[in-house]
Amino acid sequence: MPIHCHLRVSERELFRKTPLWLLYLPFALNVFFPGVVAAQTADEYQIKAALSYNIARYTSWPSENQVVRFCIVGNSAVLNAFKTFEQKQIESRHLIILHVTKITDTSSCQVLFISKGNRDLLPRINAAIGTNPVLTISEMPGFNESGGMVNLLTKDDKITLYINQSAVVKSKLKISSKLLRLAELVE
Amino acid sequence: MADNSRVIQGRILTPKAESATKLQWVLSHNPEANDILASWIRKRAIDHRGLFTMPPKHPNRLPTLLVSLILPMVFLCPGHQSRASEPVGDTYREILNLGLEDLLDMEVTSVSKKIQPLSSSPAAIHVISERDIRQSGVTTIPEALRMVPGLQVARIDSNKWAITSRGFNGRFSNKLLVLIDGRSVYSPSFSGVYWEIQDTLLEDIERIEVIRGPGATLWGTNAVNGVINIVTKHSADTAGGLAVVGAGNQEQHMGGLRYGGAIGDNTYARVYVKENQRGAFDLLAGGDANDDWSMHRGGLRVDSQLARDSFTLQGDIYRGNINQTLTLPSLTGPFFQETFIDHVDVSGWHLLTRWKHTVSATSEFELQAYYDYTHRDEIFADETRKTFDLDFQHRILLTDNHDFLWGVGFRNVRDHYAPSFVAPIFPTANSIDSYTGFLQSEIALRDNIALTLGSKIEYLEHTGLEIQPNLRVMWSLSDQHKLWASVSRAVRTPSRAEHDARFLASVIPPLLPEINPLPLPVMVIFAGSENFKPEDLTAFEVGYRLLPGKHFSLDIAAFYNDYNQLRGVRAGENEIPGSLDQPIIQPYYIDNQYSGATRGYEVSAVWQPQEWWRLDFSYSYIDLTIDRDDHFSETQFGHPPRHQVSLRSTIKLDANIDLNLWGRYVSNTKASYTGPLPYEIDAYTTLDANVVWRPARNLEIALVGQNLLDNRHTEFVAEAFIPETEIKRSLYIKIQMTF
Repeated sequence: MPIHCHLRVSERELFRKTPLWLLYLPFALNVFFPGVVAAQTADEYQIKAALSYNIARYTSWPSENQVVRFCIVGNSAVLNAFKTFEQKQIESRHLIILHVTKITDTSSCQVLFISKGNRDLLPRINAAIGTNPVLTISEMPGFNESGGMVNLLTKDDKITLYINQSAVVKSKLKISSKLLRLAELVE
Repeated sequence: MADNSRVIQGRILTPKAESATKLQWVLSHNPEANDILASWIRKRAIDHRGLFTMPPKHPNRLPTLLVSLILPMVFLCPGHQSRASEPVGDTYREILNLGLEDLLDMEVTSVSKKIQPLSSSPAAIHVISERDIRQSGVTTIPEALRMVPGLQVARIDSNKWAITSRGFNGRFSNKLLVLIDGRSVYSPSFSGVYWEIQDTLLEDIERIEVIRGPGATLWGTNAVNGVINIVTKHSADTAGGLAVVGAGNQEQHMGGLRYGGAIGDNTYARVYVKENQRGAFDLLAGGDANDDWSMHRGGLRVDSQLARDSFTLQGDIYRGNINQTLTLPSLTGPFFQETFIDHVDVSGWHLLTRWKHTVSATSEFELQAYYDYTHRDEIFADETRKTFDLDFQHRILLTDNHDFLWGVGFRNVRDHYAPSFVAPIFPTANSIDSYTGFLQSEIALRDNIALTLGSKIEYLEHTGLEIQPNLRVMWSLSDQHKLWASVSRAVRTPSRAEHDARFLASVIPPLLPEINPLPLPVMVIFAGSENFKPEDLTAFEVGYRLLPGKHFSLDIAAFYNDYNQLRGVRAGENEIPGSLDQPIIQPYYIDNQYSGATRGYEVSAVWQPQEWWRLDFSYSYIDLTIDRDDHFSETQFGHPPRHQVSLRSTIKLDANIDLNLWGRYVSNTKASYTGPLPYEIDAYTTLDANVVWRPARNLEIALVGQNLLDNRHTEFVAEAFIPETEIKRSLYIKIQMTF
């Protein structure tokens, strides 16, 4: 039961029986420790994580493993948004969410999400991945042009998908036409 | 977003799975649709009759806040408000159940800045983000730096600042290195930084990284007490147009225009122009300080990003008219000093290019070159300086646990000084080369312990070889607790003036009993010396970072800085002139006679009690002791403010209105001063406040007040020549449009 300040019904009773400061505690808790009371709303990274998961569902890899390794380059706030769907599956394959700490490890990922602010790492990531079948997803202008596959760009508060098909094909990945229809194609 | 305040109520008639899909379609264009759907699937917001109530998405938060601050003793059940803070529960799972079309149709809510994960850098580092700059209402880079714990930032007059880290502040504070996009703006002429000319479009700054403590190994000489690294945005991130106009009593008018976008397949560019006109302060003694000033600048940045290579070309050009009141020594009686209103012309430009190449996933190198021209013409110094700098660095992952970085650099500085009565520099023109090299290893000893060791090796024509090593350890106890410690050495190299200037500090009038009984005036001259050696620091630091939950983080750093060979002066022999119409000269030669220490700590904390409310707090303590406490050392070094406190509150009153408050306290300071005693400055408390309103997606209107608590307090005085001024209250309005 969350500590909510829904005291209307029994307000009067409580008032009589409880010291004043105790009544006021739920409110104090609510203002100062929101984590205790309410979780956060859907924000940018929750949507982007959900989009990435859906994009992966419409992607096929040349050889399908037992698991889909979802690797994240970004801070722990980004990582946590992705972690929430670790329980999910893609066609009965389990997801593993991994925080990238070494760029050399990225070649073994099936999906790689690179959050903005990591632009400087792109060349090394490109070098590490080579033509390994890694679906790369990011959120920075110019990502497709420098060899990235899927770019999630926000315009007027909505996200648009940009896909570099030739980069996808080069890595022997296939993205379903349903997904391609929803995206803007970049060469 | 007119619907945001609406409470949506309704009744789910058939809570079954198949109708969920239909409802999803029906509501997919309603901003609240997904929330409703989410609540419905979760069945949390529905009572047993199938009734649900959606709270307003962005309610007015001011009442909650006022209640929580002002009326704590009144019992109030703010049920509806607290629930309104955001829909409860794991909305996220429901988002996961949505299809692609719906996700792409959702509005992205960029929530206020979250608590950042703990830095794993084994140094006292603080980052000012673009959001911090926007929310603080500052109009200059120096003012933004007041956000950094442990930095001493003080405004001398309308156009001059004294900024340092961990002590030894002054207009020409010489122990802080400042870089803008990898270009040093530290002046090798008189040391220090001319802050008034360091600027760009503030909206184009991505972040300002500040490291307190030595950063000499990576960043270079003069990074003794700290390094400030100003990083502007990649031009791919500044597509489109931005226009800024504003006006106020002190910020008399300001304007800025930027336009950027793709200019090729892999190439982005932006150009900007900017102007500011700022009003004068008042003199402490009364009257106008005549220190109003204007700056005009423009610049461009081009970035090209290929798969393995990236290129950057950037440049700026500026011109400014800066006014100042000067009181300069003179040989004319009866006062032997004269006060002028000086019009300073400043101008300059630079061009920088950088190439990064990735050889493989474990090896990359970077080559950077820049040319910088700067000109400054004031009564006592007319200076032209041309800097060419070339830097190469290479990073290799030798093994999985060993990251190795090495680099070499070359710099040539050519300068020219016009003849000057007060600060003549001889030779008037010079060309000085310096060579640097560095190597640094970062070794992961265990999963959670990293060791960084390295050294800078530097060769300067004047001073010879300098080795500046450092050793750092980072121990990550967990994601929530981190400890670090370091020992490092750094040197501060002599400026051109410390080597070659004969600086007229004052003229002592003739026939003053006891001071100067002779019938001739005495010129007191501080003379540079070829024997002046670099000042030297050994620093010991420890730090602790804590992130107990999503809503709070704490960062503590403590230091002990041991300085040797600090600058002092030694009286030389009087130079008695041959004839009676010339003054006596009393030279003081600079030397390295002092040593001393500073110790202190800095605490900074971020607390986000609500999604819409964030508090940034910092406190710093510092104490300075000079080993030989004599008259000169007191005036030369002063004493930094022992206590500094800063508290910033950022509140999202509504989806489109922010209220930002910023209070600061600085305890009393002794400024270093060329007078007979150090200059004591009283403690002060000040408050900035601003309201930002976004009436439309591309329009932002800010009403900003600075120094609201009083209309006159002194923050600092310059070492010499500049009469004391008082900072005025400032109010301005700024309109920003993107297109």
